[in-house]
Amino acid sequence: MTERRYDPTSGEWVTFATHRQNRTYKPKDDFCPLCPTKDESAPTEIPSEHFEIVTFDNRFPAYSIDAPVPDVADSSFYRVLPASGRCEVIVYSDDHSLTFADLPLSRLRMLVEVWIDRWKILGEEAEVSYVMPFENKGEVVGTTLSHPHGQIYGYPNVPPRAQRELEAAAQYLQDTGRCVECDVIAAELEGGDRVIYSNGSWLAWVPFWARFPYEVHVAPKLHRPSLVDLTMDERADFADILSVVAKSYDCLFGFSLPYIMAFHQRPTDSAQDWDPISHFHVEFAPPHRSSDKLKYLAGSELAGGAFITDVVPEMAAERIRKAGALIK
Amino acid sequence: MTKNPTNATDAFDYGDEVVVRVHTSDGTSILLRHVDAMADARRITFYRQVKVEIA
Ligand SMILES: [Zn+2]
Ligand SMILES: [Zn+2]
Ligand SMILES: [Zn+2]
Repeated sequence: MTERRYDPTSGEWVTFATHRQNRTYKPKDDFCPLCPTKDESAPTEIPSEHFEIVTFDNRFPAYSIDAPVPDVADSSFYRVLPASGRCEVIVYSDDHSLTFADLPLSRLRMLVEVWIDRWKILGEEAEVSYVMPFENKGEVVGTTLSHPHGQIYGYPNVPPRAQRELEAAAQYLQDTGRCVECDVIAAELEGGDRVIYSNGSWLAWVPFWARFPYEVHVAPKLHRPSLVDLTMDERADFADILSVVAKSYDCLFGFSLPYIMAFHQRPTDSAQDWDPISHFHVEFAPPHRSSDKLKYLAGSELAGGAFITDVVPEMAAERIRKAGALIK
Repeated sequence: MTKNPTNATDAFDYGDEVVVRVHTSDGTSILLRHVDAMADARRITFYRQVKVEIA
């Protein structure tokens, strides 16, 4: 059963993809479905002996172009829709042993172009309103495969967190005439104590309001609504800053740090003029609050939506900056 | 390859691959895209990067 049901009490859609119950969970170490196919009798997902970057449709998609008719009937009160959209896997390298942080700059630069290409291709699908590349890294965030890869979801509607950001940005624009993210970047550049890295056109910082102890945001200093709006120099700088953030994380506690990385940008539908209120940014949310303790989302966060964090953002930024100085 | 790849701003045929973009300021890195079907009709896309010499 795959379908989307609407929650009229919160105004959010919830997606059901019950076939995902059967999906691969940590296959044996000697078989990785994201490795190149070396032996025809044991094919992986990728039918090639070597590759650079590959994207493919997820075997167990939450959203698909030919989504089935919902199992239950739609009504004006209980709305239900097909789970239309796209779910792709993006494999960064054919080298199983690498992580995102290990990728050479030239590969990251290429990855930026591939993300842009996928954003256009998925965004052009009539069923897709929002394209979100993301990466779940590490077993503690539920990643079943260690091969360096991410995912790209083409959602049929703007997902709730992105939607709330766009609404807040629209309100801020109406009140002040400015983009809120542009103002955040200006404030961080001026203050500096939460900045962890800056290059010609990008800034990485721990948000003033960080929900996760070592949360980092990365954004272009100039107003760019989406990936496609980046200039060539900005794309090169984007690859550089992603590399620095990922490597800094790995120096923070001395192990490859798990995280959720996600891109927020302009929706791909034309429901309204998104450009003035959408400022492309990447959010990194690592679940660790110390080398051996994890932050779990519990009562206050999940039931109340109120985050409570025990690491001061300015201290977190200082620690990540110091970790960055250890990058080899 | 075309004589002047820096003009290749959009997709055009390159055998069974498509040139997506020339993407370095010196115009020497080109991203190629090749779409294929997987056994169960899923879509797979291979990307590779080529370097070209500009006369
Ligand atoms: Zn692998
Ligand atoms: Zn802005
Ligand atoms: Zn965001």
